[in-house]
Amino acid sequence: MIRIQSAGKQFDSNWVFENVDLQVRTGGSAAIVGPSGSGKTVLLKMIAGLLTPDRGEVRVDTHDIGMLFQRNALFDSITVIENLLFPLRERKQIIGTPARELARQYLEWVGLGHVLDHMPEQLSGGMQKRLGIARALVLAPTVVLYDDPTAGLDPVTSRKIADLIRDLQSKAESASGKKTTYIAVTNDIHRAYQLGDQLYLLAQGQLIQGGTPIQVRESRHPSIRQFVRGLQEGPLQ
Amino acid sequence: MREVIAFRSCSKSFGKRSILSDVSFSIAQGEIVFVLGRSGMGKSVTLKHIIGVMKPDSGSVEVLGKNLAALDGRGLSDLRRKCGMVFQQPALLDSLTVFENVSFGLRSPEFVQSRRDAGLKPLSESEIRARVLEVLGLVRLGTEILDKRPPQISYGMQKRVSLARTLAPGPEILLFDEPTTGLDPITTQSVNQLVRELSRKLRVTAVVVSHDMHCALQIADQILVLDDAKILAKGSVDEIKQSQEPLLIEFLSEALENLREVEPA
Repeated sequence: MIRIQSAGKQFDSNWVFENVDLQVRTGGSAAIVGPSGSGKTVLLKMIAGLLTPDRGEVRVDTHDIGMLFQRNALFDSITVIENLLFPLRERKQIIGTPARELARQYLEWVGLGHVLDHMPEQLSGGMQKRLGIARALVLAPTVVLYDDPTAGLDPVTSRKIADLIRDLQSKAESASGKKTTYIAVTNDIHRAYQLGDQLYLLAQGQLIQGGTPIQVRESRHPSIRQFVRGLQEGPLQ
Repeated sequence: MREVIAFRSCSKSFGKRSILSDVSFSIAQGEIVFVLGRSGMGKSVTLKHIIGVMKPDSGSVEVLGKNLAALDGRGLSDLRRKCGMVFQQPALLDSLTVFENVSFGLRSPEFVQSRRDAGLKPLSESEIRARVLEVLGLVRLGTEILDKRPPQISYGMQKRVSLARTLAPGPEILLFDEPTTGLDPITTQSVNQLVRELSRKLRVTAVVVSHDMHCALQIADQILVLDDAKILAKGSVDEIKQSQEPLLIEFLSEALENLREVEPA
């Protein structure tokens, strides 16, 4: 369970957002959309514990949080599989054959079973993203945060990545028996439809709950309607 | 209609990997052409051939009536001045004001030389100012941002300033490298409308490399889809919409859905 109550964050006395409420049930998923600069990454980092709120409260019922960063943050100087072996060794003290098997399983899940010993720079953008996802999941976190998981990818690849994220949620659950919860932020509305049970719009300091993808498509909320359709006229500037 | 860009049987490989294989197409003056395709399918390579940064292994590229292979360094730099490149990121100089950024190219030695070659004097300060205001007006920005620095204005505004900077020397061809990738839907629409407005108003040719089929369907005169080193499809918006190519159908599905939502019948 992730619960955020009246949370606010400011930088240099400018509030990014002042009063955000969000609740995601265990086993659920949320997609947060919003214009660039609206604070989506800040919100995600607050949930991850990488930033602290300046007001309000952020509660996550686990410390096992995985995060995919916008730019993947891969280790460039070690191979694909070593990118997973490293956190397994450092965080969980899993080494040797068990670690290799575990890492290999995750890499096969994301479709990288054939490039275990490649260097990250030899992979395409979509494959690097897959590696970032595998690394975010390899420690079996129960909460996963995806920061713009399809940024810069072409539509075909980006749809596949979003499918993969959904698919991995159920795979991880059947492997560990624990329900996992994830939040994805994106500014691509189609990815949000694919990724979230519930959708939210973060804009102008407010987090607006839009409901399910179907509700969002037909929403009459002026900001949501404007964002979904890319209209020039409306409350969002 | 005058042909301004022509690829004639161009092939290009990197090592064993073929990026363009016997690719031919032509672009007429004033057209808006979208070059679409998945990542790594030669879109940027195509742009780089147009400005002569890359040369085809075989075949030829003609721009504004000149075969690029026949041009020397001077000829190439002349040609590049007529091609305005708009990058994915605004790529503004953060330590300069908006005015200084936009006027930068008007003070460059190359621009001054090109005016001399045409028998014209360098622009005076007041002419530079007038030109900056004119191009800012074209991208719908007002004088209030002239003295601001890029970090003080929104990302959408930075994109506009960057476009104004490209327009300032008066290019005949505008080349856009993924102008809407990573932008939210509202900013995407405003950038896309701007591309159309500018191309129509200034009668410049616009080549847009993009993933964004939705934008292409809204404003393109011609769409080229590259895949596996070949042109998978080429045609008007209506022709592309009718395509039965599986990859195109996949590219199209969300875009058509979007169009229905944005422009309800």
